[in-house]
Amino acid sequence: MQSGELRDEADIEDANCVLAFQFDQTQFCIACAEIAEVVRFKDVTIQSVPRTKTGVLGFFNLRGDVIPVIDFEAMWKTHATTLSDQRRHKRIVVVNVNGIQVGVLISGVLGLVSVDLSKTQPTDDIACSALVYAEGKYFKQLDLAAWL
Amino acid sequence: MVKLNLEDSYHFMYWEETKAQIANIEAEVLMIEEIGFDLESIHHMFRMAHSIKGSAVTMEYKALALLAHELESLFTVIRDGKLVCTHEITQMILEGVDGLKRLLDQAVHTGDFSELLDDLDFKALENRIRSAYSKIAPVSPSIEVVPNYEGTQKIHVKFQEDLEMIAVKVFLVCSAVAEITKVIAVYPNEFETLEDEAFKDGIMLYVDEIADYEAIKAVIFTLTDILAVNKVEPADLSGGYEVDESLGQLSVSQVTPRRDFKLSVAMDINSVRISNQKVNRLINLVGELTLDKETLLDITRQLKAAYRRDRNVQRLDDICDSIALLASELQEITLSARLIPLSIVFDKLPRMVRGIAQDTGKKIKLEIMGGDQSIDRSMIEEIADPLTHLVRNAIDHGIESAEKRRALGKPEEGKINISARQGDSQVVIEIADDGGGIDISRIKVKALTQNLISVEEAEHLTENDWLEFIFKPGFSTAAEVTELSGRGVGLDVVKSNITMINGAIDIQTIFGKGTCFTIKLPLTMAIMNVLLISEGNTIFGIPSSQILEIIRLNQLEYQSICYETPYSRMIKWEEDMIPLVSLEDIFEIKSGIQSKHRKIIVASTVDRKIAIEVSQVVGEQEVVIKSIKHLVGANAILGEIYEILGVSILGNGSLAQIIDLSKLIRF
Repeated sequence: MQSGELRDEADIEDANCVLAFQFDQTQFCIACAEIAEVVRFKDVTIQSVPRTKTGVLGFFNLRGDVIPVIDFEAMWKTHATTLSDQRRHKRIVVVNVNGIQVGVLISGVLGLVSVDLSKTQPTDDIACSALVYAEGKYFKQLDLAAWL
Repeated sequence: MVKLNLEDSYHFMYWEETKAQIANIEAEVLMIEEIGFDLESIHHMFRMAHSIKGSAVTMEYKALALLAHELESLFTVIRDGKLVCTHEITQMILEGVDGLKRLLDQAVHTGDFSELLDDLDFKALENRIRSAYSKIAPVSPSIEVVPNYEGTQKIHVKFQEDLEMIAVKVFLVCSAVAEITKVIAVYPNEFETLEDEAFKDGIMLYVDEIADYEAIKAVIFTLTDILAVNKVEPADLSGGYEVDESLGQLSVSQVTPRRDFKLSVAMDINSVRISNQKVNRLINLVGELTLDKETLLDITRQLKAAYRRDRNVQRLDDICDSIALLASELQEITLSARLIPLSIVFDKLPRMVRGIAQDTGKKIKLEIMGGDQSIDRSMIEEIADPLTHLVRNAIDHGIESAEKRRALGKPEEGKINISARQGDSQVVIEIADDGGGIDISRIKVKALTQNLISVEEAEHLTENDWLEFIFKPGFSTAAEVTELSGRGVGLDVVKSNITMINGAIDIQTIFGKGTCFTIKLPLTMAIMNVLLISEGNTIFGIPSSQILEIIRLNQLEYQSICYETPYSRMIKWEEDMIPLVSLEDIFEIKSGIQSKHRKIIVASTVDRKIAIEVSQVVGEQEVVIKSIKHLVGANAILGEIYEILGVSILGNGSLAQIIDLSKLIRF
């Protein structure tokens, strides 16, 4: 948990595992089962797409697949990331939502944590599917299908 | 019963095969009607009906199997010369074909045939077919006796109790065993009558003595609902044919050999079936390979410049040339795998024409050419409806009645010519009739009375402009509404269908002489040559095939041909006034490039020309287009950027957005 540095490809199959990240005092997470791949923001070139919705950064080329990238923070209606912003440990989490691959740009990655499924609670937040418990804290698990 | 799931490769294969087999029967019947009786055709139809039955049984589609069985029996008596193939009979076969089609459709939609089976027409058809053949040939299948049972082993197979449609299972058992060894005989053998009672005590299989019993047993047990498989020792056979208590007396003479249990699948031995997804995956892979090849070539060029004398660099260069050749050949072949001959669509037309001709009492001669021309798989489905619609229109409205034609001094028989040929990176399909043509004066009257155009505007229209009206929704010049057409719904749909697949449709008509529709379709939508344009940070691509000219204008020249209003700009190009748009405006980009010259690309979309002002032309490249359709839309991730057809990865790994020119202007 304190490692800070994400193990990029390890343990992703684990059913109880989530990728935890922090944003604006809130801890969020994405289920590992939904994650196809995690790439460093600074490692990819994003081609902007004009006239898209707020929060859509553009596309990038993931080994021959064209993946749209969405800025999580901009979607949360705060400051948007610019393409040249490489200050923080930003990562693009490529998720598979209903057969469509989408990249979600996040920062403040905490790492992979194991969830105690027995303590999962419902949430009112429409962007989240549940509150999951891990390592003494609750995380808001993103409901990607509803959110995208 | 199982609903056919076309995503499932096995189901899909069944569906495609049966469809093709039904179409084969249909084609043969039409052929017989056209050129007369041909024994070879009957043989072919018989084989097809037999295969349809066989595979329907495996799919447990009893209704389909039964109807195919009736047809098969009908073909048998025709083949044996006991029944003359009259027009009445061919009509009946065609009705049978329709029945099979309906059943197959039902299998796809619900998998439940009960509704159809209750249909009286359907029952009547089956009865008619049955009476047609049974009158001549009383059902007495000739029993062939296996002369010598030496050298066989007997295997007794018992099924679960309460199993329904055991006959189906028997067929499956036989088919499965036939994969391993030849089934010499089976008892009871009347399993085509599909009576469950007959199999209550199980079945006896006769196979070659040397066949591997364990393997046979194993393969039978791969099927469900098998209770027991036992080998009956030869000793029992010698012991007065008393085989098994449960089987009772079984005399050898009752056994009829079944020679061929293989599911005869009408498959061309020189071709394999491959799923759409696999082909698409292949194309994607070849696309990636092409990209890597480009990069490799680039590096090699640089190395060659730096180390001119190095032998390894020389070798690298040679191998690169070879890879480039291989890659382009591979690309060509893979792309051609997506192409499907137009005959798939064309072959359905004779039947339809025959039907409509019969209904309308007109005499029609249909000529089809160029069915071997191929177009992209995704387009073939989209082109079928427009094509049938145009042909239907041609018969219903185009071709005059026989009397009228005689009075006009035309041959009584109306002619419809359908042809396909390869044009410039596109396929051109023409549908021409020698009917009455389109009366432009009627269009004028109609358009004016329907207030589609004002009298002032009308004065400036050319004949071609007037003809365009027939593609407008709700527009019909048909004097009367018939069952087939004339409701004014149709040609607009035809046009939008064709536009949707980046095609174009044109019409020429001579009043009194006939009409010709010309459809132009792109060869493939998967790979295109595009002109790359840079606007700000974004690279756009415009399909090269659509570009007519790239013009460079200085301010003075620009002013001389451009007409600006506060809302729009037009330029004069050759003799036309065409709308001018700029990519900066459309995509809300500030490129900040100030240049003395304006660069304007004149391009043609399906139905109009368009001029596009761009900041910078970067070059041209062959690209694979990855569709982003699934990401675009009011509720989709990217929002409403309909102007973008797809995204392509360029040789250097960066991305270009390919513009759909037809969406740049919305009128």
